[in-house]
Amino acid sequence: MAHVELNDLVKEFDDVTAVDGISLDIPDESFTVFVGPSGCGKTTTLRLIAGLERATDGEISIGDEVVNDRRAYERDIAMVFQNYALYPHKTVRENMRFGLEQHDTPEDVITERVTEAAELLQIQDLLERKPSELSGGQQQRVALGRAIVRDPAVFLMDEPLSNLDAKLRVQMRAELNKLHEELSTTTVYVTHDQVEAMTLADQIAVMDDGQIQQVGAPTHVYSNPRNMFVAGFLGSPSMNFIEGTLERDSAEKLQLDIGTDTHDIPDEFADELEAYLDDQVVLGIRPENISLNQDGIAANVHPATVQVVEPQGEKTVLELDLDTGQTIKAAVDPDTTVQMGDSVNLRFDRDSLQYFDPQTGESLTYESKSEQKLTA
Amino acid sequence: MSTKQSTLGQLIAALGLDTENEWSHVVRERLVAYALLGLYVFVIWFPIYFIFITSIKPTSAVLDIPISFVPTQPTVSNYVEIFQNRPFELYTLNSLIVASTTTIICVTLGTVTGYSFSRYDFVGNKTLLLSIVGARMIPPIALIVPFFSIMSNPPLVGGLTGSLYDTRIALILTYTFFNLPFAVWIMKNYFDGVPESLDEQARIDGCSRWEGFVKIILPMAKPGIAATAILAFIFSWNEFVFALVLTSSEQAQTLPIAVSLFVADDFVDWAHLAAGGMIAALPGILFGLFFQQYIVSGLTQGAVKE
Repeated sequence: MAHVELNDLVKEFDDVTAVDGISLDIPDESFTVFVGPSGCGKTTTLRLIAGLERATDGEISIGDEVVNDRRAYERDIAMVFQNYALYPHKTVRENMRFGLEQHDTPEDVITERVTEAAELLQIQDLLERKPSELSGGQQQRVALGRAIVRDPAVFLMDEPLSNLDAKLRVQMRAELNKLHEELSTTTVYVTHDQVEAMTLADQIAVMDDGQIQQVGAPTHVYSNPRNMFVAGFLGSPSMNFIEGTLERDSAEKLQLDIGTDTHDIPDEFADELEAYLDDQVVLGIRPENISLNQDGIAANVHPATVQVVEPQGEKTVLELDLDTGQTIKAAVDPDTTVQMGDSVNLRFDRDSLQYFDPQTGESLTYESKSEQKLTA
Repeated sequence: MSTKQSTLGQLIAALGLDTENEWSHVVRERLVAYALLGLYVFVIWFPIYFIFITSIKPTSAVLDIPISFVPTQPTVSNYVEIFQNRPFELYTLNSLIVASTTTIICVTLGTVTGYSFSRYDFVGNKTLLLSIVGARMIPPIALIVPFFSIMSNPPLVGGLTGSLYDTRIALILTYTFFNLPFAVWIMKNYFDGVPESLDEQARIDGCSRWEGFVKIILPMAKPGIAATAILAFIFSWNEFVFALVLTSSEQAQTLPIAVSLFVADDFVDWAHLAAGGMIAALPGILFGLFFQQYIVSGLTQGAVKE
């Protein structure tokens, strides 16, 4: 077991900067997930840790040792690739043994570890088969098994579930969780699937453009996004952004003018937003924090017209046109009776409101929301 | 014609193929397909069959009219005589040495070069590969004079070895020149189809680049290697024009030249020529039949994403 530390890590390919000065502490025994869209630099970061790419600048430490100049096999890591990378001409047993044999591990230790890992992953019956004779899920287990037998300081996983069908992915996700619980090996995991990231991680690092946008516990990052990218990337359907001008109402309270409608700013955010008076501000609200106002309260409701109704089983997603012309989405009770063309009043949950600077994309309320959370 | 048609009609009726149901359609289509394929096989194999029966006819019966397609007095005397009267064992040995050495060189160099082109992104990678393969597009006949001139008086090694004319080395070098670009190209494409993550997994498992190549990638490349070997071997075994120009005696002449020597100014020794032809053709045919499945899988690897 070991913690991993990245210090100002940079990787350039010709003119492209794939990783742009990343610093991150990956605690011992943690499950850290790098998540972000394609090309954000997450896989390159993982490959830098693995030793499959050489860092242009910066430092990588595993345990307390800087490993920049060490080869992949000298770093005490094991990796699971997206396509599993099982040796097709070797049996499952030979695949699992190969790494240990290369490290001159004694025969009895090899046999013991392969047997244990096979039992743990329930692949004892597959040991004499070739990878081509296995299903996707079985191949995935073998790839995990091959990593486990090495008993490495760090597991590196590059989108290991993305080649599986939806049902199997959910099942393997749970098994990965269980496996981490059992082995407690420091794990660095890369995915573009935010659900995977949220369910697996103790620590999530959202990446974009070669940089880490935000690091933290999944629930914290989800409810307190540092910027519009993180806010928009996590969550499905993604957060709604409504732009307006900040002004004072007749009672001198701050409100957001969003065209034909206004939105009252909760008092607790008044201090942070004061500086943006008469400027543009973006209001962020997640679809699940929007409800249909049915009890006739007039304050802070927003009239809208239902454009599309998408029943999804556990929830129904509505696409709505605000009277201001903006389109937003709301995730509401599946029993809702609203239909296309209906006029509704929307209520935004005040505890879930976010405000952003439209120029920089930075959250204007991140600090105070984080503090509130800590106090609570 | 009408009699024939009615006979065919009766046959079709007897086989139950005249009813317009789904199965009769399928059977009829199959019959046509088999007939066409049969014709094609006949066209391909007939010349070989004809050489074979000529090779086992007595010399006196070869030119008999009408031609007999089934030998009445089969004999192996032609085969025995070509080895007794001419140094056929030397020609065969030359062919074996030239074809095998060329194949080994092409497979070895083609494999490592193809791997490098596939895996290393060095400056000029694509241009270099194109220039290697492009050089092979020049019609070989255009290169006969330069090759003759170089082999007769090699500029680089001339001082050390003298002329390479009429040596097996001249043929090996020439055939390597023609086959290596193909070998590189086939192997490069083959390695392109092998996911790079396997190389990387090998490195994580504790292999150096070279170890990973030898222990993991090479065993997977067997079909590509087999395809390269077959093409190089058959080309070198069958090649005639360069062998004719670059050799002049049995110390280097190969089987295709040996066979052509049965053609004299005013006489062709058909029976012995046929026997020599069979000996020359047999290894190529056997080699091809035995390894043909590798040619297809070796050449098509990487054509589609799996």
